[in-house]
Amino acid sequence: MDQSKKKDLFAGALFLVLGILTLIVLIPVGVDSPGSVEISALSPEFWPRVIAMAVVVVALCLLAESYFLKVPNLDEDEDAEADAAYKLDTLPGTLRTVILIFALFLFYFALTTLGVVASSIVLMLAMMLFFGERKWYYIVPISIILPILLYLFFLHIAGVPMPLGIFETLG
Amino acid sequence: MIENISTAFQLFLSLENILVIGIGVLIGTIIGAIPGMTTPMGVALALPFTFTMQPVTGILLLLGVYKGGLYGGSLTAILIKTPGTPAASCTILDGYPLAQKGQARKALDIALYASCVADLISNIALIMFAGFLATFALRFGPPEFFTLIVFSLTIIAGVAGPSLTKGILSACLGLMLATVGLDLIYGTNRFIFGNYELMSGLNFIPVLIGLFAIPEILDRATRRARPAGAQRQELGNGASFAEFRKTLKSVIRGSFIGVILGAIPGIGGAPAAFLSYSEARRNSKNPENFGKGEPEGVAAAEAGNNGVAGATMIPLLALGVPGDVITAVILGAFMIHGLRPGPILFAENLPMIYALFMGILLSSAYLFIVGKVAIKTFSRVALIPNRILYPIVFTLCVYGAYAVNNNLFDILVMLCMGLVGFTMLRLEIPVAPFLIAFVLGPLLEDNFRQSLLLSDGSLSIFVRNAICWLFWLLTALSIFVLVRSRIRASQTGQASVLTTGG
Repeated sequence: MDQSKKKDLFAGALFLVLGILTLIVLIPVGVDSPGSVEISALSPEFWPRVIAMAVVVVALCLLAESYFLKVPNLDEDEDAEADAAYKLDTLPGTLRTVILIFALFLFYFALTTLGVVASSIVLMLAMMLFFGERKWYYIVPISIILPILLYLFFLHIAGVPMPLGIFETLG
Repeated sequence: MIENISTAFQLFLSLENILVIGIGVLIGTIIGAIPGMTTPMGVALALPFTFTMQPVTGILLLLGVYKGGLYGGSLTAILIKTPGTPAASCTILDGYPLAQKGQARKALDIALYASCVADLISNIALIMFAGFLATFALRFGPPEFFTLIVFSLTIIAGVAGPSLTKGILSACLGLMLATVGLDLIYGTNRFIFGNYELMSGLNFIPVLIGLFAIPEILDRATRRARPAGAQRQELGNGASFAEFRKTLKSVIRGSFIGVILGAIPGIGGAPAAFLSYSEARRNSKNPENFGKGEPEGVAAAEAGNNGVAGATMIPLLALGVPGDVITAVILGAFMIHGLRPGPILFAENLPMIYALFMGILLSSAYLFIVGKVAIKTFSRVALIPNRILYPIVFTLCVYGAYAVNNNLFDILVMLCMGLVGFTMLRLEIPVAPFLIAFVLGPLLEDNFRQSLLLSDGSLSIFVRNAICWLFWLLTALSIFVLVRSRIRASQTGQASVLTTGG
């Protein structure tokens, strides 16, 4: 079974589960309905229910489609081999993605104490290094100047003060 | 009428407006030229900078970015065989061979002239048809709007990727996310789960930025930089007017193809470029030259691509229904200023529409000027490596998402949407239907429930007149065509031209 087919089967199954979960758990728990609704179709939960049912039906169609039909070739990745070699040289792709996602959420929690400017400086530095840039005369100036310039732009031109966290006194 | 136009002039004629379009086109051209940055990404990143501007000024800036982006993609397509935007991939076919022959300047000139002519034709089409369509749409009530939106979403879902079912699932996800917040009629909570930040619903801009910029950045972590085609040093001579005149027939044909495909929600630039190119080849005296460096090929591709730029604004302005991601972003910009495009806007705020039209016409001229300058300078900008570019983009995303409401929660929304978008990217599910459905969701539900209020709960109101029937018929027809082409694609192993957009 080729890669695309597997993806489609997985996507179909994923949406099927999501749709059913929405119908039996999320809507009853998450939607507050008023005591009396004259027309049932006007109740707040009717519309989400229609969408969730559509998801279930279409997900079944996708499962059938991926089972019976072939996936057309769009642009096949010509460089798949080179990509694989690259992944061997560096960390495996999935691990790199997980690290990056983890770093981005860590960044969000850093924002609340360190403020936007300081955390952006650290994140930009780290991200450029992570993506493979090694020339410090690009890395250092860009990652320091850009967050500060943007801070000044939003403060003076757009009138939005970015939170500075513990550096609030400097602003 | 005259009074409206003179009010429009007052609205439009300010140094700010005239400057801002040029700046927009310039930013758009640069973003379009950078491989790895798409035009929707550029418009999304520019949006937070327009919050404090006047509505007309802000929207003109975004339109400038849109038009510049469509053209900018062709610069790198021709010079280094790397399309800056998906729509420019057709320009490579003849543009890069020309550059290899040492005639890059000629290809760039032809691309620019074709883009400007197509843009102008498209803008004129917008001005001619939008008002007409809006007058017609004044007759629309909730059921007509409901069926219209269902039809638009079907097409968008169908042409955004190779599979209609995946497109619909993507759209359903967007519709579902749009229901988060207080119920429109009863004011009760929906999917809030005790989090008060969610009461007013998810904000459009963090969702947009999360879906269109973050996944690219995450994906970058797993991929090696692509080696670009070699750029030859000598650019050669520019194109003469006589050379351009030879391609004029294809340019005009391509512009009209662009206008027609652009006015239909969902189709967009890439299919128009390919269709225009294949029509030019079919009608050419020497079709065997196509693909080997035929200037007419470059002209046809660019004309098709840029011909959509004005036309996509027709359904947005006249009906309030965006046809692609960029017009959805522009719809978002209208909403931030408390405006709602559609027939009512034409009735109540005509001078503003006229002021926008004036700016749009001016953008064609700016495109020409910026394009002439760009040819030399920007091909270098395009060489900024992604490893430096993406951290910059991420920082812009963070600042932009925060600036919407001065709220850190929006940054979290953006990151979570980034994860959703990345998962969809991996599963090859298109994100465009998701975003457009998210924007249209409240409108769709509102029209649905208002219709049922009108009819006391009877579903027969959705087939109450010929307009409703027409939209149902069109919906059924497009599903039929899309399903049939999907089955054909399965048999031949080739995807149809129409569904390569996205």
